[in-house]
Amino acid sequence: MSYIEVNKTKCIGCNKCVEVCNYDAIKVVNGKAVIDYNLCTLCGACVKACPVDAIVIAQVEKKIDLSNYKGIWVIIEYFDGELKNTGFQLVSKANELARASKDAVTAVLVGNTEPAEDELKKIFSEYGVRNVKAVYHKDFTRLITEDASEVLSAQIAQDKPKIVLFLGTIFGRTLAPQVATRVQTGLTADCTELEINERNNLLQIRPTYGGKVLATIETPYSCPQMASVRPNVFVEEKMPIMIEEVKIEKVPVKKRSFISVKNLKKVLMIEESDDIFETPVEEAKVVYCIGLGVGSKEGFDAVANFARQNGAVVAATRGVVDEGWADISQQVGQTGVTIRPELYVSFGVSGAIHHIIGIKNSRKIVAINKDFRAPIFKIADYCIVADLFEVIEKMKNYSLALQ
Amino acid sequence: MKKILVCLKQVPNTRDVKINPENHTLVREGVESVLNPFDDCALEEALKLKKKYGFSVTVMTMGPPQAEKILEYSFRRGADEAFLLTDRHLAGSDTWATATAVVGLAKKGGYDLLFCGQESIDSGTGHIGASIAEMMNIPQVNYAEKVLGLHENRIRIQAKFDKFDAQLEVVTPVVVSFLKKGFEVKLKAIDESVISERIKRVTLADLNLLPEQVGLEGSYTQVVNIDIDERFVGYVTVDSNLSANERILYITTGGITENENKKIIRDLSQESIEEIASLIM
Ligand SMILES: Cc1cc2nc3c(=O)[nH]c(=O)nc-3n(C[C@H](O)[C@H](O)[C@H](O)COP(=O)(O)OP(=O)(O)OC[C@H]3O[C@@H](n4cnc5c(N)ncnc54)[C@H](O)[C@@H]3O)c2cc1C
Repeated sequence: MSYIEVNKTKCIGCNKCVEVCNYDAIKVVNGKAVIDYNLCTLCGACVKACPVDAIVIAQVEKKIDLSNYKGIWVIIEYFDGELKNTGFQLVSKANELARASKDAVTAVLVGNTEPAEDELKKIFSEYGVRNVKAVYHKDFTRLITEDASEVLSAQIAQDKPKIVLFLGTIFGRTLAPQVATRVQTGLTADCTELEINERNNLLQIRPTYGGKVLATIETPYSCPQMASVRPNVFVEEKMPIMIEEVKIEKVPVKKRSFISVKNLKKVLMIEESDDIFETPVEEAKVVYCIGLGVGSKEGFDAVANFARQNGAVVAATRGVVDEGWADISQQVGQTGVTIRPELYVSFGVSGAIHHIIGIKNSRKIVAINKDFRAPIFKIADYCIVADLFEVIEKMKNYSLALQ
Repeated sequence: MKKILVCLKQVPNTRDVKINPENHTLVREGVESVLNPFDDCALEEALKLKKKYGFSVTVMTMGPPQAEKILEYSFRRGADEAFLLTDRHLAGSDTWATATAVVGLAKKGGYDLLFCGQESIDSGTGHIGASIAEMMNIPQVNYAEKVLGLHENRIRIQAKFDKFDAQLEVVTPVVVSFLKKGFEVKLKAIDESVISERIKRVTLADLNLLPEQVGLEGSYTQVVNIDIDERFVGYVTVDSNLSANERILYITTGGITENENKKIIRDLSQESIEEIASLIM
């Protein structure tokens, strides 16, 4: 655990720390800063503000009594009035964990939206979530996670949840490590399974080196135990019975010490990229996935054109993204997105485990590969052992003949 | 003149990484290693700034003595100074402990820009940049593509955000994590005889860090088990239409649970073409 201290000899009583404290936890008494340890959340705003480095946060002891930590939090983005709906996949998983650990699930909405209570009550009652907390400020943006991190970290320090789960969106993947660092706890990225062990701790399971290996990770000496999970890894499940009482707690943010207010970081421009296909891969019904088997950028473009003619969205393996033929947002697999389209067709994809993890829940898998040993054929519903360019050529001729 | 620190990681260039069964950590020695390609892009951006504005480029890596290979490479790329943070107590560090060590070194140099790769290709957590920034209480930009320009203490960065391109302006010091992209690697001819001597080797003590702040002990997360992924192990069902040779190969490639109801198309006859068309078009 950490503690915070004011060095009385250095302190000049300038009040700068008092101005930035969001929690009224510091006052100047007799010309020196004094911290109210009951209110202090160790957010560090005063440390940064102090012109003479008189305030320090130091780590004294790592082992803490974890029995004060209760409940499972699921962080859900709530920007521009829109609740990130993949968040319910994580809520469903949290419900399952909560049954094992005898904890309650709290959905924590983070964003710029003032909560629409009736609507939220209705949605969350279907998922069996009794407690909803909305941490918001109208100026929050997805691109400046530092602001949200400061507030969420303080809220965590105050409420002491035992487990905090983040969705591995671009926002979540930046926010989660910031929060974990601030509250000084462990975090595991891109988990594909979560369980509760006999000590009532969270087991965070993620595929690692060599593909077929799964690492189980625990956060034994600190709380909350944190994990991030990519969208579409878990399945969303409504509860059989709607619960009646959903409590919405509004936590509007008093904004004083943020990075954005201090003008340390600002968004100059944001525009839709033109080098990206219209529908994001994870939302597409039909996905054509291109692997290194296409051999070159020209080969990639040929398959991508064929995909567009057939109304499919183009995804790629990491090998292809590494070559610079496709954009990173198109990467499917462990370090890319997880997809569950109606139809997945692969062109020259070998089917490494890192890739298969991201596609195995597709409704129908068609694989085209000239090597019959390619591992992708093991999970495919249709295995086309052939040269991919020959297949495309024949498909084009076939559809021409039909016209 | 501004100072840039680029954080580099040496990663295994193979998927055959062995695991130490005693402490469940990775045995990296003996495996061919390369510079994490994301970090190479971060280095490239730093070197561009060096060329344009004359900034100094320092590189650092935390790892075993062999990791000096990537520092030597960095000198050939044009880096000015290199630190190798090596200490046996660093073994088993998670992202928190790693960031703690990097921050220990970063604080000594008073850098304006701290560059790193968005993630490493071996473990790919993407946490390091964010952790370093939060520990130093400075802003951070993730998913950066390139530096657009610099004016006094403000830097403009182009970053990717889902399906958006964003331009951000940030006050230095700042941590920037770069995405990977293709570029042409240019190496300089330098005095190879002193290249290894130019590397500055530092230990935890040099950074005023205690052994318990890093390594396994300093990590919040601990690997408790390493397992074969059950979902991908299983009996391999072999297509009896295959030749003996093919069957043997199929068995030996083992691994993933076979889909029992699959259909195999091995020719591109008119009939097959019709079937494929009805499937994918
Ligand atoms: C930590 C980690 C995370 C990773 N995360 C991901 C991830 O998220 N997503 C991902 O995709 N990968 C990921 N990888 C990489 C993964 O292990 C594989 O290296 C990668 O998926 C291989 O890409 P590929 O199938 O395109 O290429 P290859 O493995 O090179 O396969 C190419 C295939 O094309 C076939 N082929 C060649 N020519 C033709 C032709 N003319 N017609 C038909 N078939 C042809 C070949 O038989 C071969 O099977 C990760 C790796 C690591 C270590």
